Amino acid sequence: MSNQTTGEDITEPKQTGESLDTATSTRFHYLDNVRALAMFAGIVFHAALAYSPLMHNLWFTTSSQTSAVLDMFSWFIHLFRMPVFFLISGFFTLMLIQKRGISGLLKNRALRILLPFIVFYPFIMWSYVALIGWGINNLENLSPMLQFFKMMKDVPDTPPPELSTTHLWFLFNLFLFVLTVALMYKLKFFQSKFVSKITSVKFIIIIFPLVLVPALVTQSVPHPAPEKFYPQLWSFGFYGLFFILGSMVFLKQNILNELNRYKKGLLAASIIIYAFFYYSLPDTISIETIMVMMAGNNYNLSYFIKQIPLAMAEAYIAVYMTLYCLLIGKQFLNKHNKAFKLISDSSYWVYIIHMPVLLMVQFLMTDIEINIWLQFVISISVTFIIGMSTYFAFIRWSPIGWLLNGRKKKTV
Amino acid sequence: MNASIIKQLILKDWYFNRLPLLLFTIIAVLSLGLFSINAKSTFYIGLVLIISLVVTVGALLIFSSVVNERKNQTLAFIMSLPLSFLDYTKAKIISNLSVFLVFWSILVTGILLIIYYSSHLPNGLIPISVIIMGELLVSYVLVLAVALIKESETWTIVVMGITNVGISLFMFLVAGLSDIGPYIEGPIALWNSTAISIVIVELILAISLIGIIFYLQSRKKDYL
Repeated sequence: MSNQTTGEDITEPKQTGESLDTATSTRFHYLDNVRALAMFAGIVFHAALAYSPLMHNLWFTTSSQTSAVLDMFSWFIHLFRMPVFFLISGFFTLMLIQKRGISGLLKNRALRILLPFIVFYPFIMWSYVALIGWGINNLENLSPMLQFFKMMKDVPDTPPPELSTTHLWFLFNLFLFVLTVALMYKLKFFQSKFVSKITSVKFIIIIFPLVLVPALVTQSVPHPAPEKFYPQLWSFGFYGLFFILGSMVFLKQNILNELNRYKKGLLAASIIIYAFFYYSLPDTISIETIMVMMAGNNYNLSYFIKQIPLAMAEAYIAVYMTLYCLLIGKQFLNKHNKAFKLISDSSYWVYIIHMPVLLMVQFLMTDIEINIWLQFVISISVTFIIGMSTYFAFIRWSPIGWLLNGRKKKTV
Repeated sequence: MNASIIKQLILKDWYFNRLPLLLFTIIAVLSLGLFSINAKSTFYIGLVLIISLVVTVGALLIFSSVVNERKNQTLAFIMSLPLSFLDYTKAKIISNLSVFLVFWSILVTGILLIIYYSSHLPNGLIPISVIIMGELLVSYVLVLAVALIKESETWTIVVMGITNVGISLFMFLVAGLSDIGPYIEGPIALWNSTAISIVIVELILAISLIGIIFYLQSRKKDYL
């Protein structure tokens, strides 16, 4: 037998115990693999932001070259990569509750999610500050965002920017969702007839996307990351509901087989809606626009009339593509594969460190004239290689690796 | 035509949907309350809830009284009644449309009254509100038609998915029309030819769809 995980991944509990029922003792390879791909899609998305016309004024590392193709592709990924992640997390959370009970779940999640957040956050925050500071002082071609930071730095009495959870927001939110689901389980929500009744194809395809719209409609389009240092209601109304849906799917796993017949339709609908969605986005978003949106409670009806359909489009794409990813993953990735296992094991670490690495790589290319696609490939490849190599060289068998993925030992 | 049994079937559908409908009506009234508050987020959420409720009630009615009736073998019992297929269709259309129209009318009336009497919402919103609610009505009748004619849960879900997605596209297209969009924030409800034409087309579509249901159902020889 090969090496077996005896600890836990970010969302998945260890697989032990012959007495456990089938649902909690089955290894869901496709969920491991899809989750790992969703994590890596994050690197692709963040790398593409440097070449996004839409984000040109708002991202740290903007190239002088932009690509509409890359932009179109990356915003499509943005709409479902984290919903996929949260749905799978919700699935494994309920699995863990059934295996270890609520106290076992909370202990495990505190160790695997909260502790890494507390440990890594200062380093990540410091690296952002250091990299941005370095960029402002050393780069010739500053992005509009860095120019803005430079200007603010020179203005005396400028209030410090609001503290953000950075790209580690997913850990912060994940832990909040775990607490919420634990409470709901305690209150017997998941054991209720209501949950059993609504976990149906009809509900998931027709009603569930609509349930997400109130949260999305309160946010700018495309929706931002809920990276504030306090629970954001809209995050619960969007990502949190995917998490709960994942828990519901765990209780009724046959639902994925029932959804399978709609697979092609889900993809087709998503692409059609996305064409409309992308067409409706502005060419670019200015810092002033964002500041106006953040400042006021005075609404503009023309803006809102466009906001609702866009929020609906985001919701449908998020739900349909998340389901499509799960179904396609179940069809093609539901097997143990060594390469995928390695990628899956390293994905947590790689995701945590990818942003500082990516920013560094893209800063280094800022003043050099390289083809945009080559820049894009280099930034992803170097980030991926650094992430993977540091994982295998320093993390996998170290206490940090145990913290992230659980302790691994050889079994006979 | 067996009027007595048709009436019983209509009352049955009303009876079995009474509790969810009561619940949804309460939520609808609360949504109208949110819609009327002069704040960006409550206004957004109120309107989104209203649209979602219309879709949800439509889905509930069609699934509970048409799709599930076939799926749960209730139809087998109905087949034993002295009732033609056309009578059955009449009962289903009347029960579905009557419940839906009551709910839909409450919301349309509420929206129009709130827009008309509130100081923060311009009357220019009235035409687009009617047009959007009209689209929801047409979508509902279309899904009802598919559920009755195709008698398939899969088809019903697919068409319902398409119509739901279509709501967002429709809203965006209508708001982008040069005869509609610029007048949304105006102080008066401008019923120009474009706005009136869209509402008339919606009405014709809804009525035509009902006609198509009857025509196609009348060609069916039996329930199976």
